[in-house]
Amino acid sequence: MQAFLNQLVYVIFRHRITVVTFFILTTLFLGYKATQIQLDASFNKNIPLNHDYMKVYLEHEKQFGGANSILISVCDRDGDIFNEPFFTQLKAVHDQLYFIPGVNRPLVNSIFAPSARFVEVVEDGFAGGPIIPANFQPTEKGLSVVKQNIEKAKVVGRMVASDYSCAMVTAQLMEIDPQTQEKLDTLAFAQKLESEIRAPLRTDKVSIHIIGFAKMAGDIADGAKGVVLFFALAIAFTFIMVWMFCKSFKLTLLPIACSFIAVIWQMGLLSTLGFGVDPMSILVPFLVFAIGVSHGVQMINAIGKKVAEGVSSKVAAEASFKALLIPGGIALLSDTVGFLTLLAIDIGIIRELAITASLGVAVIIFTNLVLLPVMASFFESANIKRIGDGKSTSHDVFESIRETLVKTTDKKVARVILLISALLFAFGYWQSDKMRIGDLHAGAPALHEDARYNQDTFLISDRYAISSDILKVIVEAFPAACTDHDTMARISRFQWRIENLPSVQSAVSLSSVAQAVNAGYNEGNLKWQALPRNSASLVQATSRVETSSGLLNGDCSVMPIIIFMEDHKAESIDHVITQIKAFAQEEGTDDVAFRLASGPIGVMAATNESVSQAQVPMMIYVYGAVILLCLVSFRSVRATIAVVLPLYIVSTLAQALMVQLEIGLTVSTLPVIALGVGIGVDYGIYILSSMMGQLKQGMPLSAAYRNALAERGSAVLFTGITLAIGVSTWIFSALKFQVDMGILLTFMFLVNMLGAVLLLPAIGTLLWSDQKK
Amino acid sequence: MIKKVVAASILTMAHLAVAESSDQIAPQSALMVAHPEQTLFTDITDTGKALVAVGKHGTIIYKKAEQKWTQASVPVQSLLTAVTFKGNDIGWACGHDASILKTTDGGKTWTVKQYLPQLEKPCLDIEFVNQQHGFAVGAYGMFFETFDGGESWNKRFISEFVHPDDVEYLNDLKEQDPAGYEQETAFILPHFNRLLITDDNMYLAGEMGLVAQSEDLGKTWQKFDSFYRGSFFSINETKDNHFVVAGLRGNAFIGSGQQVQQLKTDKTATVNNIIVDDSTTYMLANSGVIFSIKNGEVTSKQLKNGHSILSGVLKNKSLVLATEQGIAEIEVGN
Repeated sequence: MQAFLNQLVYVIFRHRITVVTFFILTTLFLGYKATQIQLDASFNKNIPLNHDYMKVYLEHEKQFGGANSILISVCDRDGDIFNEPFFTQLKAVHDQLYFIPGVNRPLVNSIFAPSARFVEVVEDGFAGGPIIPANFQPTEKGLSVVKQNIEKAKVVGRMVASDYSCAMVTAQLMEIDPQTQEKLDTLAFAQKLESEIRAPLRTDKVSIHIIGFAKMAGDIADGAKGVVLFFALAIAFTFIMVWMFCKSFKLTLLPIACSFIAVIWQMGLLSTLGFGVDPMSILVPFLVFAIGVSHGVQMINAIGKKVAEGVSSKVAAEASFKALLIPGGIALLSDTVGFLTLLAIDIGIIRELAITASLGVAVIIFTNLVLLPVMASFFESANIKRIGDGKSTSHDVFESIRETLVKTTDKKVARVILLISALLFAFGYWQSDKMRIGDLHAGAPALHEDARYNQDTFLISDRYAISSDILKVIVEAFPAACTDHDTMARISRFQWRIENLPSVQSAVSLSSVAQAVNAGYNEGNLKWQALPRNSASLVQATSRVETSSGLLNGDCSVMPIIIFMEDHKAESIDHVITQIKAFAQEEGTDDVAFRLASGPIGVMAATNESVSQAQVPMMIYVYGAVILLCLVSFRSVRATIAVVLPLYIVSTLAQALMVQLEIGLTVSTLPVIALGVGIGVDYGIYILSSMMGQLKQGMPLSAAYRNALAERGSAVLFTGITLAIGVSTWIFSALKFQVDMGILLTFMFLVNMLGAVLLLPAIGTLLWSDQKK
Repeated sequence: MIKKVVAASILTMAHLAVAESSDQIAPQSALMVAHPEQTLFTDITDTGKALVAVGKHGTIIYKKAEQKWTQASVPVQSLLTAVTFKGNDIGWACGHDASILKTTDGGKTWTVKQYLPQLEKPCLDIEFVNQQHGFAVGAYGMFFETFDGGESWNKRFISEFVHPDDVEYLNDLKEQDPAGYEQETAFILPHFNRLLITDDNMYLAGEMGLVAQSEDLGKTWQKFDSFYRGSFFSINETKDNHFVVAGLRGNAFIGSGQQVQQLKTDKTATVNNIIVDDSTTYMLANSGVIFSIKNGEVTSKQLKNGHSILSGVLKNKSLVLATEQGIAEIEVGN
């Protein structure tokens, strides 16, 4: 190993110019690529496409629409829609939405849609027509006819607000445009909703409220652009702190610039590989920067200390490279492998994150462990010297902190620390058990409650009887199954069971509609609201229902049951899904299958199940990687325990914090737990790798720890505090998601650092007790 | 050996076939659910001890005094359409699949007395003269009569309602081709929607403006001259011996003897049920409309939720209503 290192040092430091040129060229190329990177959000990326539910969803998406819908509520500011200006604007919204590319046109729905019809029973049969008559004039008379038609069509609460203050236009989005075969650009679509609908069609009298995944992604992307400012702020702050730490402008520039190059490489590589940056994983570049700074500071710290000992900057750089390549490399490699294990989770956005994060961390090995010392070797010693200068005040401060920290290796102090940690862990474990999967709040949890998107969500759920919380169970039978009494009776019974579940508002199926139509055929007498026994009457009852209702396909071999739920809280979904599975068993036959699931709730159910299934394996993979790499590099079980145990306690506490902040475990928050491990592992590895050699020689723990602190402790303390303060500014972000992440990351930077300097040595007193003398 | 297997498999197949066919006609018990009171209810009655309502999915619920609605044990899943009691404990209900149920414990448990899905006709009303003698009427002139408290039911064909032109043809057919006669008479008559038994009279109201009365406990029927071509869904007798009959699109008539007069209603909601109080007659209708008739004047009000009302009973000063989405209760002022 040592020979290999020497060889490596020889190769790199003998060809410094070549190395630097290589880095410059690569950075230029990837920098150019990075400028082409785009924000990219897509609905399908957020769903576990290989989950059983989602296979059903994708199978029937074309026929019955997916879960990627857009709801536009057009509201009259005076609270009554029956006036000419309102109808003009409503029609304009309907028409505009129809023509925006990406919209599944036949499924655009509102009272202006051709499928919006009413039926009434009169003495000699049925009378019916479109809700908006062909000769509609927005006069008082025309409007009163429309009002009656709306009531007859029973669309109040769905297409029209329960209090007649708004009307709804809905559409389904297609992931792939059937004409151009192009992928839907969700963010561009969201832009169009603003520029072609809300901005031009909103008036003094009419307000427009838009919700749906595309709009939410658009709003999050808009908020995410503000993230750049916070990054800049954090970088600037880090710069100042590093400068105060090393008192040298040039030296300060090194870790900042090298970390920045890492981010450029990462972005460039992503762009080259054809990936974009998802709004929800926009904080990954910052994490890469942060991890880079953490390693960079270790490097300049080591170089500075060596120069202070009187050697030339080149020798110092070579020595530091040799000393830190292994611990730094191990730390970064375990991060990389840890993030790569996220690939095992079959959700597009998490896989993307796995690639984004592992790429970013891997490039740090090159930029901060290779480029940085090479660059430093060009500096004059005088520029570097001050960092190890015994006379600076910060030195005294560090010295006294160091002596305090060394006390943790005292048996009594260690016991107290261990006891407190055990208590904290027990508390954290108990709390983290309450971690819930899925969204815990209505609307978009990534946005602030007073964000327009969430306000629009509240308005719509307030004024309409139905929400967008829809679950669809797909009944797969045989051709013309809707004329088979047994099949239809099974659907009816299944629906009746579902309607009796808590948090289910109502349900509708071809069976229930056919029963209503049957009553209609019998003069509207509700005593006939049942399924006719013979096929001929069933044909009559079902043939009036069009495929555009979304309740049947062309030959009625597939019939979805649409279930409206009161909310999309994880526990409500969980309960309903469990019950439905049981009902499906009881009512299903060889010919008639009740299959989960479609609709937004179906997607959420699949996602929640995937997340919950992924949680444990993900932790096993991430920790497995860290443990394995520690074992290989330290060749010591004791050292591995000393590094991993504090890490585990801290990530348990972080989960408890998520419970406290009411952050549910979702596709966007799940990776944070893995990332936390990545952030935390650095500190422990640096400290312990410095101690290991001495411990192996039989040096007492306290002495080995004191030396490790003198060598690397100040850098560890410094990085932890600096990065924590940097991310804490995110509390002021326009994105609720970023605020939450800011709090979580601040916690992780700080507490992981404390774990490395307090808990690690305390655990050491148990592991290396024989050396304590 | 092979013979045995073949024989066994033929036996199993035969068994399966039998099981399948009997499966189709054997009634299934209603599901016991968490919220039985949230479905469509078609009829409600006061047994004196409890309120009993019947409706969709074979749901029967009962409620004593201030207690909650409880779901009864019911052996069918058919949509039930009518319920009646004679005394506190003995009652009958009927509905789709020509099913007829009986209870002897005030509505808690029910047994099937008739279940004929192959008829493909719903029973639409059931009424009893006393605990032994009763009638169940329904679609296409369905008319069943019992003399043993509903244990056994006899089918009758009310030939008085056959169009005069068809009488002779049917009589010939009955003699020459009894099977053809059965087929011919199965769907020839209008729906019988409502049967009313008063102290000295019986009324039948139904499709195509059918109103008839019987003064001999249903043995013979006299049709009223037609005064409306739509359907009637309910008929009742006021305290001053007038009858009120109403149906499709708010069409309502008041009469005595052959003198019939149309009531002016301000809404076109179809009337499902008529309830008579001391001075006011209530007509319960679709879209939550309640018409009140007082001194020949009709006024109306509407339930806020717009749920159609199928039936109701007066309880103290309020109306307990069976609606398309559960039981509702409203105050009525006198």
